[in-house]
Amino acid sequence: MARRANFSISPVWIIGLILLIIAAIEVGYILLRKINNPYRTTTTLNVPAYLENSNSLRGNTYKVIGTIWNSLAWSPTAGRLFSVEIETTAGVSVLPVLIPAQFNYVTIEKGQRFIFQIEVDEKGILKTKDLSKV
Amino acid sequence: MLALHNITLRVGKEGAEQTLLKDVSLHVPLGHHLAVIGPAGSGKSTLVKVIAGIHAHSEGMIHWQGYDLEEKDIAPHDIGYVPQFSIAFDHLTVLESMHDAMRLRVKGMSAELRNTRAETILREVGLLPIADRRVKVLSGGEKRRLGLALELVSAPSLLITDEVTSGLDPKSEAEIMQLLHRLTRNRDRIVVNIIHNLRHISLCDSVAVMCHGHLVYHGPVPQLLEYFKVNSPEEVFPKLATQPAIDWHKAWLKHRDAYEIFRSPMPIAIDSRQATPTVEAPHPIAQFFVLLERRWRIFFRDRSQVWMHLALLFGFPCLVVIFALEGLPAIQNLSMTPDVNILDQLREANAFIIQSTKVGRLVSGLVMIQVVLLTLMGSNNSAREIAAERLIFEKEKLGGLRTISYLASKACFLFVLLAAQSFWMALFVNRICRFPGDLMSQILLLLLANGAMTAVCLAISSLMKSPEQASLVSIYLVGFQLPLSGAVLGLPEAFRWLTRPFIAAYWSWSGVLQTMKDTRFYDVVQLVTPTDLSPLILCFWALTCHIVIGLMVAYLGCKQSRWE
Repeated sequence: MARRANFSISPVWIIGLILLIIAAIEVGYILLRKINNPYRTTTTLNVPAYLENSNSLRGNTYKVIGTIWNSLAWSPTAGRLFSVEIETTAGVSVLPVLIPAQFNYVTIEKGQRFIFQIEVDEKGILKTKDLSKV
Repeated sequence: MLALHNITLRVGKEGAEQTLLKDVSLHVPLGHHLAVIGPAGSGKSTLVKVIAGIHAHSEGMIHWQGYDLEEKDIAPHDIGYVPQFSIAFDHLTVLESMHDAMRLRVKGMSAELRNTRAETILREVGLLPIADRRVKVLSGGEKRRLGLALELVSAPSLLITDEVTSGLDPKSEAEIMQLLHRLTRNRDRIVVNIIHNLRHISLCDSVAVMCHGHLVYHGPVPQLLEYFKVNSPEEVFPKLATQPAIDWHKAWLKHRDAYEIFRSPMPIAIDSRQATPTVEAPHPIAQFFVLLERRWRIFFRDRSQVWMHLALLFGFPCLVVIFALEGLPAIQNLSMTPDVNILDQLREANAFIIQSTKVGRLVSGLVMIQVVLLTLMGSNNSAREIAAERLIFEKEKLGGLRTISYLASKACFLFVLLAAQSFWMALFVNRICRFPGDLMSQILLLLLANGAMTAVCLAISSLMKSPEQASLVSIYLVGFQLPLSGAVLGLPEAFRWLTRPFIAAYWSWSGVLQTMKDTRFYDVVQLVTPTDLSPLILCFWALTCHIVIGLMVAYLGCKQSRWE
């Protein structure tokens, strides 16, 4: 046993510290995955399927990431309707997305990117259930 | 009894080893004043450092009171080691140093008792008339006497002094030698005393002569002259040069039974009642408060340090706001109606890009300047904090100071500094530049960035060999923050993921920008920045990890002995 005045760091301490750093990075990675994708349990909207037959998707909830393009309509009770540019593997599509009045507090400007949690309502309109800035 | 059995000390890597001590065996009974003499480089200091436990011997055994010191070390209060370097802080007075030493080493001493004891010891070492004088104005000899006084506060049974009389005038030297001699007369103490001047050697009970790492004599002083066949002790050193050290050592092994009258064939452990320490070390919390109070006292006494901190505290935020004295410019948004003609749309888009680039860079830049300046302050706070006083800390550790108390006192002291710096920076910049976003989150993120750099630089300070080295490494670390944050230039994807976890500036910058997420400033920053921003909670997590891991490394760095 080393004497008190002659203590040196054992390799076990160093290995422990390295493992701690790796664990901290791993926890950070898990946090990143969870927070960066708040609707990770929600299916991504199949845009071609929606364009082909929106009725078949009625009542379902999806997520979609898009950039605000234009304001199409506005009503104080119904909310705001925007054209949203959505990137898919098949290319870029522009879809109308209704943001209900409950989200009137959110400032929405052209060029902003949002992740939307949307529901295909009975008329086939994409109605926002929740949204978050990317 | 102190007994050394065949002590050998080798240093260096295998194949290029150097033997500093070779087969040193000696026995010293209680109530004994041992002088260690020898030419320069003979291994005197190395020998006493091995006895103190500062150097680990390669072979052999050391017994104290019958116990093998490898199995049971000497109690901290029971050993006193007076090194060649000063062991007191320059900005404290002699009396304050004595009080602090007592508060750190001896439990339950009242202020009155401390005063009496300090006065007694200072009178004995001849420092009472200058008790209120600051250490920095003491002469080399006075500092050595103070070193001796500081070691006497716990009345150690084993007192080791390394040339404590060097640099003293003849009268003071005689007084100190007489004091050391007196200290051993109550039969429960050993003084191992390296001396250079042999004038007062008669005050020692025995003398050990070292030559090139070998013990070549240990016996009563009067027999020294007879053994070396010389007329005065001063003639011993020239005599040693007449033949190789190994020959002197072999000769000593032949004759030592006749001279070393204190030898005991078997070390006998003293009974448990005697082994029980009579002096207890203070509780770690008590030590923490003593250290914290001492740190603040030293801080306020060092005027240049106070002025520098004030200059940084108030100067750095001014450096940020000069870029946005009028506040952040408003952003004109793109029209969202589809009925604008294509030419107007292009013109509008062009104007928006120019505007957003300008504002985005301004906001991102202001946040990054804040963060980088705070990391610079963090580095300045702690880079020298441990490295600059390392030898004193090692000495205090030997005397029973707990590493956790020391590190906690440093962390608390630095927290006050960094909290003031971060709070003022965030508040001042926020008010002048009218930064949007949650101010409390911004303060917390800047505090964490400063804290992260402070903790990491404290770790560096605990690991480096000198304060200069620690400062240099810390400044390099700050220098890397800006380019590796990715705020100015985008890093390659693989490199980004490799470095990002370790760059505090990135996490703080990203986090502060995230607090503006609900504003247009966030959008325009995203348009111009080449690096993606991380979620707020992740920024908090990363910066907290920096602090925790930094403090853990600092703890290990402090725990590790670093006497050189």
